[in-house]
Amino acid sequence: MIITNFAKLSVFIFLLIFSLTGISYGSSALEIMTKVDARYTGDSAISDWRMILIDKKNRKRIREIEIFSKEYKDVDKSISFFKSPGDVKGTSYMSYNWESTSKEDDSWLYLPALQKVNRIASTDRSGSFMGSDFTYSDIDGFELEDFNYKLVKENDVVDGKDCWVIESTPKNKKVISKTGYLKSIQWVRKDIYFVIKNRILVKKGKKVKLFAAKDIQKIDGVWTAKILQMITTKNKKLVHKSIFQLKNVKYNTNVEDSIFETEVMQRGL
Amino acid sequence: MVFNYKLRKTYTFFYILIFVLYSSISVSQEDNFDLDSEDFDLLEDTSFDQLELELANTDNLALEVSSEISGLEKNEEMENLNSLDSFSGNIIQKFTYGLNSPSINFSRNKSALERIETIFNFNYKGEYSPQLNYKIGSNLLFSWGKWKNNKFQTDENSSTFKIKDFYLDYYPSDLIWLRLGNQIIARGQLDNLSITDTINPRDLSVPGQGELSEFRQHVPAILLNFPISDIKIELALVGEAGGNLLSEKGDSFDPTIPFVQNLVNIGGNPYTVNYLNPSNELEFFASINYSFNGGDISLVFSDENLNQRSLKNIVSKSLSSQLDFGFDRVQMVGLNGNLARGDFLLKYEAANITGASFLKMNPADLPGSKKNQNVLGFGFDYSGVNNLTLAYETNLRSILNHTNDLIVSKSSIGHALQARWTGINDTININANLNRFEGEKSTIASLVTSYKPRDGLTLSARYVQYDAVETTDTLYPYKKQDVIMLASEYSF
Repeated sequence: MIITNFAKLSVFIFLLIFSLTGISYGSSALEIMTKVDARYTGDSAISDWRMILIDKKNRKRIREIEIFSKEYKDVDKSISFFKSPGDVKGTSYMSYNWESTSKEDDSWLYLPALQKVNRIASTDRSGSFMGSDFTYSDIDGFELEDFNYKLVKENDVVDGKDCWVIESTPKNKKVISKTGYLKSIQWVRKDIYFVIKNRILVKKGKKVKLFAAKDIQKIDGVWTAKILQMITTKNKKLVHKSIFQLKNVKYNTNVEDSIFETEVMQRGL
Repeated sequence: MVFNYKLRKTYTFFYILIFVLYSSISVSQEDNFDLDSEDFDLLEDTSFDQLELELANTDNLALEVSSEISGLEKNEEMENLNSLDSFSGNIIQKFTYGLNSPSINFSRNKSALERIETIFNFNYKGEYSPQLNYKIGSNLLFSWGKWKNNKFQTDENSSTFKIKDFYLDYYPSDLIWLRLGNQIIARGQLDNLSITDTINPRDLSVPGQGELSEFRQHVPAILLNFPISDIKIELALVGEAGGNLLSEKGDSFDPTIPFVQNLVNIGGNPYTVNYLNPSNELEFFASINYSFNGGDISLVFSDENLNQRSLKNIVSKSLSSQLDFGFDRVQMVGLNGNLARGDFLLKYEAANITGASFLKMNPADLPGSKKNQNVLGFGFDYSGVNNLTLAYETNLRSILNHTNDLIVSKSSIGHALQARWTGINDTININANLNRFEGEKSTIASLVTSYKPRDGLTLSARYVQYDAVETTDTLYPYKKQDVIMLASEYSF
């Protein structure tokens, strides 16, 4: 099952979402992650994000993104439009994340300089999403069954909240190729089943990435992190970090089916 | 021998580059992979202490650079945030230095500064109503001088103004899209050896010295896009599209040079070039597009003027001869598509083209012979290596009912190879290209690096090398036009 799209980045990323009931301390890691995967996250969403890219010299680059997403029976669709700065303005990215594991996800990128929509290779998802420390896989989400899970710690406190600590490892090389992940350790908040912290060993350059979710609020009935941070480290030193800051979100709003078309990427909003 | 040496040199250059790129990525320093390390705790804690401060500072910074963000800060309604009206553009400063000494037939006949240019691009996108949007784009190129009479003359400066995107978008419904005006309609799958991407003529005045995005020429057109079930139909009617832009007389790719140097010997000298208007200014394009899980496919049809002009007539005058170049009216039936599989994106194009004329062995024997042709293209992008994408394209052109009096052979093949590397969070890009012309031994090799030190600012350097062996090769008269280009681009 796909844990889906960028519009719900705050609630999906790295299997962030949980439902509260039915899990005891003795639950297996897979049961916990299944709950994460199964959590209701709204049928559709429109959101505005600010993406802040910060290098180790603290120099910042800022992007403004608007995202539309919608869940269908067999596919989750999302489309993102970059609104600033000037050199990326008009760029758009669209993905169809299929529920069926037999189907590879579809994604397209529109670059205004070329005025052409290009399909992206199916497993070309471990690359940086528009220069950020998040990958396309991070944005599109992962499939629950692609990983093995192990509960490594039943209790750990992060930001004052009790968490499970779960280790995830890819089941095969194809998953590694697709996600770029070699191993990760996630801290899952027990009260709302939300992954608020994640440490990821990535294949590229054998770096470690540190994910964190902050300012978690219930918006329109959906638990949502308003700040997401990903730090890339090398030899335990900061190399680069990216912050996604949620500026606005509306869940279960009217998102037309016709917006998820390549022509819309081309003509813009 | 010369050919082998040159080709070997070019390919060796390319392979070394790929090796260096791959090595730099795959040979990485060993890290400590203990994910429980307290060092990470410290880094996370420190980072979170800074986070609020970062966001506060960023709010201020963003407010300075984007008026749209101020809307976000004020928590205005979502509809207001989606306001389409926006202004954007860039300013590009370019320096081009010629590395070799071309022949005396060119304005620059020794290694020297070729040109200095400043380019201004402005775009305004507006919304008249939810159903009616518009875009106005223009381009101003200012040339700071020209090489002439053995020196760079700044008094030879000039400016050229062009209207680029200038169109209305009309949406009678969510599913129907009509674009009316000056526009680019980029289609097809192959980037370098495209077969079906023929709507927009290209600027070939300095081949290899820019990106594809700079080469496509806008055309006045009506574009209609609508679905029928899961199939999308696209119709385009184009008027006064013109042909590919060629270099001016004396410039580094002056198209008359082969005639002046008698590489194409048609008798009589000197020559002037005259471009004829097409007999039919209207062109029609249609495509039927279908997307499925893992791929896209399009059937394309066109009735158009071939963008590349051909020699139509020679008019002998008392002191010179006039070469008349005109358009062939061609009809194309083709298809293009892609398949995404794992790390590969496979791309293909094929077309049957009727109506194109081909020069004969004696180029003065005009008009050329009209022949039907089949063109088949294939390519792939492989992105299985860290941050590196390798791309290859090839096309095969086969002339039907070929006769021995044609200057071109019955079948010809072209190749394009590309390696693209992106690193340090998209701040550095390296792009290596090798393009071998169809049916001949002309090659263009280029290496481009770009660096983004901050938002909106890009610094780039480009090296372009031209090779040819036979006198009949297209690039033979221009094989000493290798250049180094430096550019800065500020986007807003």
